Amino acid sequence: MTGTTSDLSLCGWRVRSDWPLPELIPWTGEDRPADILIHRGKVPKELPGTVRKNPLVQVNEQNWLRFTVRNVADYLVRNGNEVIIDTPHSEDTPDVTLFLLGSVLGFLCHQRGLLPLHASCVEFEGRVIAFAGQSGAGKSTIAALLLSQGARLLSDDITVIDVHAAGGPVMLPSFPRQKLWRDTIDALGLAPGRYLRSTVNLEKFDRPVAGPFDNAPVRLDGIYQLYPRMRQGTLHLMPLDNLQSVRMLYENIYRRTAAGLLGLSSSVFQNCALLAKALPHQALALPDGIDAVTRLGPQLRVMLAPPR
Amino acid sequence: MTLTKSNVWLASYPKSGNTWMRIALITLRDGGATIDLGSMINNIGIFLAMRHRLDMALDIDSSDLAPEEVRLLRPKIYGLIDTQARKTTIWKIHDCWERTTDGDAMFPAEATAATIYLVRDPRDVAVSFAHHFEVDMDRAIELMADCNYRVATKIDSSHPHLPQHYSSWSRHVTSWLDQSHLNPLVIRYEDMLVDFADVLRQASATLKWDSTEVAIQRTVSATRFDHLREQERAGNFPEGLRGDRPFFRRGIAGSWRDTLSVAQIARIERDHGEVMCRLGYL
Repeated sequence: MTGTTSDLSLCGWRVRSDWPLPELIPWTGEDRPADILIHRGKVPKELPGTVRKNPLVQVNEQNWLRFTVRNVADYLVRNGNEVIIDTPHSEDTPDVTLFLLGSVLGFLCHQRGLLPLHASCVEFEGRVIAFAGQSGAGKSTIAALLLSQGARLLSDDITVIDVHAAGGPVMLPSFPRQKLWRDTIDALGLAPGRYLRSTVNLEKFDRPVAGPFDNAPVRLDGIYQLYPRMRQGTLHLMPLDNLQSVRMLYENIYRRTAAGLLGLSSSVFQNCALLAKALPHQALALPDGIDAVTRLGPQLRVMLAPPR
Repeated sequence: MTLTKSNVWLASYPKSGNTWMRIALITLRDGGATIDLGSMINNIGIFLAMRHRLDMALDIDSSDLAPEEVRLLRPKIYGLIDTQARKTTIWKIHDCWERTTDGDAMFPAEATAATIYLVRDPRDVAVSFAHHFEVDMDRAIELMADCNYRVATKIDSSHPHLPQHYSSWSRHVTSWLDQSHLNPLVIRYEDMLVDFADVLRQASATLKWDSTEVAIQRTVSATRFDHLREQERAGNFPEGLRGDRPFFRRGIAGSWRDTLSVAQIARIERDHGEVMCRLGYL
């Protein structure tokens, strides 16, 4: 399994995929076997030996995980190193890639013992900071705003963290793309990129981010929990104590329900506790509305300065 | 997956007293002690259409799905949501009752412990609706007559709520009362104003709570409209509206009489006369 030049890099893993993934950067690392194989194949409707399931996810006794997105694809994720895609769609269908680089990446992380946070991450003025929050909290918008002020994107929407790395928690940069809604694209004056969905009508775009991108792990300096601050026109920053941080991290675990189905709830919780202890965490309240957020760029820069 | 009858639907068309009732039920469950509206975080009156609840339960970003895809997934989340391990959860709902194109009930009987349906004179709803959604009165009246009225359906920006189908005011009422077969306890907003203690006794019985008369009387007192408005004025109501507009506005019945024009009243009575008659509004 060594030697092909078409291998790709994701979070520092060597990825070999027969599903085209131009979103990922080429593998330029050492000549070693692939860490993750992605290929098309047959995924059974019922995973043999299923022990736990919810409407979209089945997990069997070997901790293989089947995930289905109706009218898009079925995915089988096993051993943290293989993904089988079963789809009737052609390889230029972005919908299949969207859930592969979304939920499926989250499942892979859990199987590999890594902590995927629902967060976007940038390097800004020498600090590596992640913005965590639920869908619609403003993760990608804040990241896009900071990119326009010179930040470097490390991940969008999912931030993969190795809590146990020697010397403290590191994040594993994923790929240089952003998922942005039409209103954010318009508010920031960006070029949209390609549609994230082609099988349904959704004005959400996959936008490549220019500039050098490196998958080498980087030390995390801080995590900000985003939450909308209704009726307020300003930003507001509040430090979180250790207990609040654990809770915040746990609430922002990406694909936490599947982690439970995989029997990983307690190790995920322990990883949150370790991460809470290792880094400063703060809550950042954003004003309501995309225009209000984009107006606050300069204020944001001051707020994100390293704590004294 | 086997569904359990662990859900209480607290359903209403918007602006029909749902928030007031939620606050009262939280208060009643805690024995009638005045609650801090700033910390209304428990399992009473959780808004079922919050996007993150579906995302968390199903391990998918509903914001990556089209509204019609989300709609098919909504009935699949019961029994999957972490609600602090309580036996029953009371959900705030503004959707009409209906089935998806797959035939699934949006609010299935197999998952239902009880249903409380709140209803209010549509002429008063129109006044409150226009204020809340910042639309003029004629537009509010038009939307209330629209069987296709849906909210949070934008496909170009994120929204914290899932797409919901309100339908028209009349269809909303008949969907819950006639089509759901959930045998709802129907509570009129106007009766909440006249004898809230009696309404709470009925709600308590429907929920199979053994509330004492003392708790009921204390709840009535703690959730008086002026108390709620005072807390909102003091900045202690997280669900308030944008700008300086109060959420708890007047809290009375019949404000339509000095607000709506003769033509507007006639339009509402024409659109909804049959259901209004049935509920004693005409």
